[in-house]
Amino acid sequence: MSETRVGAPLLEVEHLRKYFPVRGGLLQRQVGKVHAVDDVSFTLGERETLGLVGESGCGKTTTGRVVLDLIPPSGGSVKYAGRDLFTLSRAEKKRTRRDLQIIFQDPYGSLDPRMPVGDIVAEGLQIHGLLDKKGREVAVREALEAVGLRAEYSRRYPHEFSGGQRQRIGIARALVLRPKLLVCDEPVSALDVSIQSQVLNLLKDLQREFGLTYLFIAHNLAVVRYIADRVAVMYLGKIVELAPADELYREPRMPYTIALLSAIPEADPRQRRKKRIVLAGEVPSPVDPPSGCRFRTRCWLAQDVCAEREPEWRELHPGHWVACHLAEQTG
Amino acid sequence: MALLEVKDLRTVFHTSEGLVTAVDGVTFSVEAGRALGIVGESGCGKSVTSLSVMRLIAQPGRIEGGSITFDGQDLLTLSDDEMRKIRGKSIAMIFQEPMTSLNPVFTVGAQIAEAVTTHEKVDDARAKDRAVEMLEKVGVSLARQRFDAYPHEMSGGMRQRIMIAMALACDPRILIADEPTTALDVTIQAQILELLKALAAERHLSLMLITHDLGVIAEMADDVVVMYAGEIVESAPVLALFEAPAHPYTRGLLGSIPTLRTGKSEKLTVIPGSVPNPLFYPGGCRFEPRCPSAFPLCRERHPALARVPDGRLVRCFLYDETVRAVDPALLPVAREQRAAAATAAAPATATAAAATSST
Amino acid sequence: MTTTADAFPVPHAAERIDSVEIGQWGAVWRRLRRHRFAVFGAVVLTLFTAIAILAPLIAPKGYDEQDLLRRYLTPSSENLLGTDDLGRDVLTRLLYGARISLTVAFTATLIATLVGATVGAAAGYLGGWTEVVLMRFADIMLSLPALPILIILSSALGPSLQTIVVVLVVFGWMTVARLTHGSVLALRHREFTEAARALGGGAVHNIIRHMLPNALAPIIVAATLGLGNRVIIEATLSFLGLGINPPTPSWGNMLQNAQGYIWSQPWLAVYPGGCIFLTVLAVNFLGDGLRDALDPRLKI
Repeated sequence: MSETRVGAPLLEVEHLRKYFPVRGGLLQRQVGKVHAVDDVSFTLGERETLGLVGESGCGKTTTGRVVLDLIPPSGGSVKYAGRDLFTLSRAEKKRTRRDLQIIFQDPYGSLDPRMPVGDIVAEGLQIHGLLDKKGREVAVREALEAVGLRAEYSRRYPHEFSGGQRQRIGIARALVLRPKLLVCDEPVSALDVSIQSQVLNLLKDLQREFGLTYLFIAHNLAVVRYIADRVAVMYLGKIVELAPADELYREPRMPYTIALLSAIPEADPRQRRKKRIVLAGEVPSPVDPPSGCRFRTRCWLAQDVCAEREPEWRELHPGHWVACHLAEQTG
Repeated sequence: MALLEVKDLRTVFHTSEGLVTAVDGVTFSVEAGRALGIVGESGCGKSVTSLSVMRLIAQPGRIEGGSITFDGQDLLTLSDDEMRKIRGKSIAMIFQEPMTSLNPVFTVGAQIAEAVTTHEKVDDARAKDRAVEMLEKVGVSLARQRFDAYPHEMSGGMRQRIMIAMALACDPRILIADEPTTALDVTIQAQILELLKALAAERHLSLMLITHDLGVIAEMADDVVVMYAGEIVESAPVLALFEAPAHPYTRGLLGSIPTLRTGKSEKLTVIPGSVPNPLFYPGGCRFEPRCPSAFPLCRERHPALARVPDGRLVRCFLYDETVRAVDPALLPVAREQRAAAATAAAPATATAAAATSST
Repeated sequence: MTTTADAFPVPHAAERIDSVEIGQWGAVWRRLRRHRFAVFGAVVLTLFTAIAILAPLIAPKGYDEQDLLRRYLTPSSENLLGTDDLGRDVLTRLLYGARISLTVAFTATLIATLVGATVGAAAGYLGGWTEVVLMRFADIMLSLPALPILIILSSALGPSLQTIVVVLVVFGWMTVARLTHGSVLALRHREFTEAARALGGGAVHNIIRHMLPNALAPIIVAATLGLGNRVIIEATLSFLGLGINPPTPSWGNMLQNAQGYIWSQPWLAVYPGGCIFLTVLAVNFLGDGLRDALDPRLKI
């Protein structure tokens, strides 16, 4: 069992909200709002990997962006090392950026096509005025080698590299600032299957070597299983279940999680005959989410209480949190 | 005889940077009522293969060799008009991005009806009835009202159902599905796959399923063909492929996918490097630069697709009798034993390091 | 026991990049070379620029050297292109004229492009009121009738090199501003811009390092075409007597001078007119070629 000595809480997200206005009518006034992130709370310990999973539109990507203050929040707080990020001064916010970095999903769009790769990796150092020219060259070389690329390619441009290599460049760029936390926004979704394992293994190795903490956002539950210590499942802007990885996959309690796990086609033809739960209907609109429990419109266990009251976020077993009225019955 | 037999298909693209042979001598067949899965990663030529079967390859691409025999007829010898009669009627296709495949200015019902009237002599009223029937068949509720909806009013899963309805409207014998669920969420994907399975069983429909997702292959296919760099490297029934993958690429692929049971403490297999540039294919085996079991012959000669004792086809010298007869040390068993010994001596290093040390 | 070197995947032989390193501008240059008209344009422009710079060294005579005994002469070995109404060597005046015309056009283009790009990029990146104010201001400027105002301003400020440059800049920055604004609006949402923000980059850093280099293609094309335009405007102003004053030669005032002699000594008009025509043609060809060579569709 590899060492994941989870330390003190590094990040405390509390009641985070993000609403996007919906405009309509002749004067384009606000007619509604998209509840992209609706009261999300979690903590991240040092050297831990928290997986944030869900399907498209659940708010996981927006959560990642808001946590880093790349999108301004509509409410709530994000405490990094005890201080609320949103209340810091501009200078302090800039300083904090060195500790909280992000790697993106799209290896083709996240690198500036007009910059040589060495400059891309060194950009963070340049922005914060760290190291002199020689020092930066050394730092860039170390970062490129740390991600498994040859330093001699630093004068090349992004389009000369493959998708997997570009993703590594993005990782090198984030690493060069020696961050504490890395938000990984679907880092392998756009890569070929055989390249995914390269990058996933790299991320694991880097976590060990540099003591990094990951917020790993993905829609692929198998990928998350491989890299996360704890997993949070999101649906329509809310976290509906949060548990240690082993427990979530072995004993999911929220019906949505159960359906999600059941829906994944396994790479094992003998599993074909097994009864899988196929959810009815479509994901409701985030502009007008269902009352009570948001999943009730597609839940096969739904009762009256699910429409009347929003389920409480409660700790079913130690460390295993669920938002479902009927969680006791789904075991 | 199989419903569709592709022999030695060769499709090339004359680009400004040189000749790209996207499909290089590909041979496979689809039996009536069975599902063939074509699996491979980007650039392997699987999509170009399916477009070639439909003869939808446009300049600068050209089909330059081989034959595509459907129901006894070689499609490559047909005129454009004759091919158009077959396309959409006997062989239908659905694509990955339903939003770009559907015309945004027509209602979905009209598009399904158009599929009917293109191939059959029916009046508009009858075509509309057929369209509504198809909508119901693919699980669209309130079909009669939904007939007048536009594509942008529908979700991704819904649109994919429309695509399927259009494709099956004229009762084709084969449905080619090119990454039909890749753009969809997992729970919607499950719905669509169940739908396809049900429809295929009901209509004795053959499926040609192209995807990079081995889970979908395991779920849907009866026979599987694995493509790499424009060629087929392994061809086997689905159970055999997953239980005992033969080609090192297939093995690497299966080992590199995390499953719902692969935990944080385990290590995924890594296939180092990346797919070769199609302009500069190596002269020997195309997978050799990344292969953990490669030996010098692999760089010199290009292996042919050969039949192995259990009936499957593999393109690899490890399974080539003539090669093994020369040097017993080249036997796969001996190699694996040596590789295992090397890994045992250096436990913490990645598989890639072990691979580079053994080549 | 594992050392740091063992813990990371060693760059495998297969991680090589096969293509030859030519870089961004190398690819552009290659494509440009294939465009014959653009090459012609580039050659002509380079030639004229060289002439403009070297004029004092290569001109056979002084540009205001009058010789009233040798007026209206047709081309001869002494005066390769003949003499004008005051006996001045036409070739010399043409060479110096190139100097003036091209200096004015290049300077004005450079400044107008810088101003326009800055305004457009700031408006596009910052959005909000900045964008509204700047772009509406550009719209207002664009709606003003340029030529009449140019004429009024010129006569008010008095004709001189500086006046013309100022006037050309004031009326020339808007096109580039609009183009840059449009490009930056799209670039602002690209993921690499977000990445720069995540690294801590502020507006100024992002605009200079990311927005402008990526918006360069349309800017370069617009600047090149604007150059040709400005040569004509300068010629027009000088022709109307509102630009460069004699005895300093510019192609425009040489044309004005030649007005009276159009039937008797047509070459006095043909030479400067021909130079203007060639310059603008060359600039347009080059602009076309650059537009194709810089086409982002052909990248990545």
